[in-house]
Amino acid sequence: MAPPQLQTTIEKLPDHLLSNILVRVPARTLAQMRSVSKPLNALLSKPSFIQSHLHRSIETNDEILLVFKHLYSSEVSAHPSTSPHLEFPNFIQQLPFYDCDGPSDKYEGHGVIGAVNGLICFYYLEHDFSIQIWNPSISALLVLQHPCTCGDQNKFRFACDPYNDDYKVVRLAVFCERSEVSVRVEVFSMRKGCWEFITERFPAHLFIYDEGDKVCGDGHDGRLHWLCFDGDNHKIETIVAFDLGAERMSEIGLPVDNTDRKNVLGVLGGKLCLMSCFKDHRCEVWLMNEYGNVESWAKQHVFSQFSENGMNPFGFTLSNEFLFASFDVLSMYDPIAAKVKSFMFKVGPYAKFVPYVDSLVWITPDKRKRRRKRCRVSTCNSSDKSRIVQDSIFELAKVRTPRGTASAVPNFWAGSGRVDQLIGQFMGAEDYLVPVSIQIPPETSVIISRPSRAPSRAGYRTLLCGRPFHPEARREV
Amino acid sequence: MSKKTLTLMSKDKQLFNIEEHLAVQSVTIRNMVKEDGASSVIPLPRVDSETLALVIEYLNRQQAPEEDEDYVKKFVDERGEIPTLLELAQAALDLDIKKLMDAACMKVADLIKDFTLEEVREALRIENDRTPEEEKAIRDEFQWAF
Repeated sequence: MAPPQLQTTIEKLPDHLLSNILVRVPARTLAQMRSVSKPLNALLSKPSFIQSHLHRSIETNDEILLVFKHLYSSEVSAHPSTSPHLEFPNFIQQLPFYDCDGPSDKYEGHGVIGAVNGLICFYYLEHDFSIQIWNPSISALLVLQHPCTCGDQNKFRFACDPYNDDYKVVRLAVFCERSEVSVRVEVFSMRKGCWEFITERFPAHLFIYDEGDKVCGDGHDGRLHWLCFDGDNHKIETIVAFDLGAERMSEIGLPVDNTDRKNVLGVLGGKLCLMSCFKDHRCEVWLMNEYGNVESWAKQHVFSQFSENGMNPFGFTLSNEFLFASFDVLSMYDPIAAKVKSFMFKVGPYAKFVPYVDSLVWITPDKRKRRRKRCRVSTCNSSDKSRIVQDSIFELAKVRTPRGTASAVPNFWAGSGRVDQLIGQFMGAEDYLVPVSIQIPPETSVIISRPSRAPSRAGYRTLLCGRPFHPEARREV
Repeated sequence: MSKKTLTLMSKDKQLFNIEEHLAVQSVTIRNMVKEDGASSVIPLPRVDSETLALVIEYLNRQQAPEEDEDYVKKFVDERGEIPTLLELAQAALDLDIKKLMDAACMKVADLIKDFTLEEVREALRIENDRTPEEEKAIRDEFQWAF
């Protein structure tokens, strides 16, 4: 007898209809729905679906603004931009802890580096520092390995690279030697899963004037901007732009003579904007209408109505509202409706603001590419730990781990969880146990200028943070 | 002058009349009318008669433009059953009636948001193709999501 027919399958919904429905579902729910079925998982993982979900989420944003009030604190408050004096309780209590057990006694705080498309990049201070990328909508966390070497000063920024469908952390490492200053540029790519120095250098005669980007609006279009001054003449200011796709630096001139003005860079409606403030706190907002063309700077707004109180400009939110502090009290101004809304609390100069974007965006290192990856070991001069004498490249094939997972090691500093033994001649300056198994040519001395973490906690680890994130909290207000 | 009337035919061969100026809110019908004048009956082989009746009711609405948003919301809210909404969403997609499609999809999304995985499968007519072991592995991998 023939086996009984499986129950007649009901007609499946077309993908087109499914994606039109699912694009309207919050990211966290979609993350759970991945286990509904394999075809649905495939649909939800499609880059085109993730992009449509993101665009919809930005367009229909009932904007929520996350405020990071202090530099060394993990305290985050969430406010609806329509009535910012309200606060969503428990929306995000704090940035995730590296270790799910909570902060250790060495914990010193968090700071936001940047935020793009729902990803928030921040640093974490606990004896040493580490950099992490976090998607609060789907609670995914990536802990970056350490950069190769440390500069005397490091400046980090976070940006999207739409050309390579990637998200990158850019490090400007300043090396000072006698009176010579050089700034090397190192880039961490989420897709590659590692740091790499690029050949392009930051213009040596320029100094970064202000870290800027308080509203985390920069870096959405694949470019980062720093406001700089000329080392020879403090009065001359200029913008240094970095194109992440092309890995090129360029300079962009400012629209006005900036004598006696305080300038702050920002982004307004996707365009580069310069907020130029006079001593009497009158503030001009200039927009660069055609990117890269200095002639296209145009004065968009003049805010003089706040001048009596004095003000500190921070930038524009995704819904083009102007954020500033007046007598340190945080306020928001809608230039079209000419309305001021106050947050009812004070912020210091180091506050950062992140427009919350519900997003499925997450990038795991490309496995196929990773297999071909090489490892790099920086060998350093023992008298000057920060300086790279030689970069040695090792084929990944040489990486052997006691537990046999070579592919888990995208590069030397990764120290992914499974790697716990070192083979080779290492002379650690401070006896650091390097949690990587790698064949080093004899007589190569390697100085580890930053301590690596213990193997079990080292390297990067994804999707392990169960910090409470409550989408329901949004509805409570 | 009498208004021009179009005839739409559902999957089960039922005929519906609708004035042309109302029917062309559907981009698909507008293109058909443009192409061949659509003097004869327009067949809609994927839309059943109940759904088509709903679509016609929606197209025939007499709303002031500023009340339209509320109307379409209420219109789909009153048809809160997921199978009906799915048919309506599919028809609105096929016929390219943006507002109706938006509202119907939004309503389904709102409903399934709080469903369990099994309920999602049932609502979206998806077969569970994973073994219990696989399901457990996924739950372990994505435990933060549960």
